[in-house]
Amino acid sequence: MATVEVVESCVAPGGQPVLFHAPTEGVPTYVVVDRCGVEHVHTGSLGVAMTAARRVLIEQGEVWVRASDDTCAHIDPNRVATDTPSRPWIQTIAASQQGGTP
Amino acid sequence: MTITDPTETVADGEPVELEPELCWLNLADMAPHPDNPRHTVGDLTELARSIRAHGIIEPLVVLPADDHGVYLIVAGRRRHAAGLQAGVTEVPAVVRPMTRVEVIEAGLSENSNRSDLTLSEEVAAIERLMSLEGGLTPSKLCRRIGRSQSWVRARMAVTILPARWRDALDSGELSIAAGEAAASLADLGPDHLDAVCGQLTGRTWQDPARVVAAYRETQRRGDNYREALDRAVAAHPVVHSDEHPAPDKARRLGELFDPDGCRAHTSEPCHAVVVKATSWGEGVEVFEVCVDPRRHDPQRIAAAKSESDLASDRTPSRPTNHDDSHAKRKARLARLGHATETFAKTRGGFAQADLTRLALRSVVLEAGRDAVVFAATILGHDQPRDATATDLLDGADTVAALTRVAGAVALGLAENRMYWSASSSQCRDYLDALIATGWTPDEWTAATLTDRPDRD
Repeated sequence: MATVEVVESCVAPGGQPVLFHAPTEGVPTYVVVDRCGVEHVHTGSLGVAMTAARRVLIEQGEVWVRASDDTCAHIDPNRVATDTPSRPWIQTIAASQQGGTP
Repeated sequence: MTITDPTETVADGEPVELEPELCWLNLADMAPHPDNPRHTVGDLTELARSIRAHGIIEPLVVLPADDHGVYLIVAGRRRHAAGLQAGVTEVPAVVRPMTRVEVIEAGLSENSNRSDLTLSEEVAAIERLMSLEGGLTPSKLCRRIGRSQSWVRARMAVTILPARWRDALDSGELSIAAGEAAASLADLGPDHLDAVCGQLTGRTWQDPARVVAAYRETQRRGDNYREALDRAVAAHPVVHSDEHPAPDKARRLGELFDPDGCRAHTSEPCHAVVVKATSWGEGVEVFEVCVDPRRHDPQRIAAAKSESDLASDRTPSRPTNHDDSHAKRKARLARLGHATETFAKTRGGFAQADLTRLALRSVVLEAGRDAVVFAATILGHDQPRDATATDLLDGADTVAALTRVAGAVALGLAENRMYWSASSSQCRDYLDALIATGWTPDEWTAATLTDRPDRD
C-alpha cells in the first residue's frame, strides 16, 4: 500500500477548514477540485472521481479530491497528502496512484 | 470522395478541413497511430490467410503523410499487420485529416463496437480522451463515442481497482459488472477492494452489486460490534464478548430482577456486560448479565427499593441447599400451581394413601439428628447413634409400618423441643400421649403442664 503524506491541514481551494469530520450515512460522494477551486465532477464512484482527477492532474499538476465528510486529499504526480490519513478512501487512492493508471 | 495522390496534404495534429481521399498506398509507408486504443493485434493467422486469398477489401483509414512520408493508421491496424504478414504491398486506404481527439474517438468507437478491445485499452482510451480535451465531462464523452453513460461510467469506476484486478478484467476472470460493483467499495480501503474482488473473481454472479452490498453490510456490522466492544470495555470492569463468552450460568438481568434490581446490580461483583455480534440489524447486541445468579435471592431483590439494600448484602445468609435460580423457581411455581388445582378438585385429586405416605416419610426425612437417634433407640436399633433417617425407613413399606417409624421420629422431635419450649402445643401433645399410656409426670413436667402453652 502506498504511504500517505500527512499534512497539518488539507483543504481544497475555495473550501474552509473543518473542526471535525462528521461521518456520513451510507456511501460517500466525492468532488474533484482544481487549483482555482472549480469543482469538476460530483460522483459517488471513487473510480470516476479519480479518472477526472487524473485529467486535472495532467492539466494543472495538482488536484484535490474532497469527500462528503469533508475529508480531503491533495494529489500531485509524486504523492498523496492529507490531514486524515486513516480514511480508507484516501488509502485507496494512494494505492491506486502507486499502482499506476490503467 | 476523390482518388488522388495524398502526399500533397500533411496534417500535423491540427484540424485540416480537407476532403477524405481514397487511394492505394504502400503498406511499408504506414505505421500504427500512437493514440490508437488498440495495443495488441492478437492472432492474425486467419486474417492473413483471407488477405492472401482475396486481398484487403475494406480500405484502411489513415492520416495524411507526415514530414517523413509516414501515414499513421487510424483504423485498420490489424489489416495492416496481417497484410505485411501475407506479403501484400499495396492496399486501398482513405486518407482523412483528423485531430488527435478524433483519432481516439474513432478508434474507441470502431474497436469498441466490435468488442475486441480489452477493458484496459478502453479505459486508457477514455482517460486519454479526457486528458486531451478540457471540459469533456463523462456525459459529453458518451455522446462523442456513441456509448451509453453506464458503459463509460463502468469503465471509469474500475480504474480505482488494484492493478491485479484490472488484469483480471482483461482476462475475463472478473466481469465488468463485478468490477464496477467491487469498485463501489473503494471508500472502505484497498484491502476490502482486494477481498471483494477475490470473492467475485472466477464465478458468474447474477447480481454482483448484491454481493458487494452484502459485503458492505457485513463490514458495517463488524465495525459496529468492535466499536460497541471498545465502548463497553472503557465503561465497565467486566465485559464478555464473542471472543471471551460469559459463563453458561450467566443470566440476563431482566430475567432475574426488576428494573430497580438491575440498577442496583451494577455495583455487584458478579455484574458484567455482554457484547454480542449479530448478523442482523446494527450487528451488535449489548446487554447486562449476572455471571453468578446463585448469589442472589430473586424474590428479595425484586422487592428491593434502593441500591443500598442490594449492594449491602454481599454475603447473603441462607441455607446452602436453598435453590433460588430462576429456572428452579419457575418450575417450583409451576408445581405449586398444579398442586393447588389438584387440591381444589373434589374428584381425581391426590390419593389419600399417597398424601399419607408423603407426609410420614417427610417427617422422618426432615427430622434432625437427635430425633432420628431418639427414634432409633425406641425402635430398638442395634446401633441407634449410627442410624440414619433412611435406615429408619428401610423396610417400612406399608402405611402402618411407616406410621410407626414416623411416630417414633415425632416423639423424638417433641422430646427435643421439650428443652426449649416445654409448654408448646407440640410438647403438650407429646406429654398427653405419654400420660395416656400410664406414665406419671415428674414434678418439673407437671409444673410445665399447668402453664399456658407457648405460641408455636
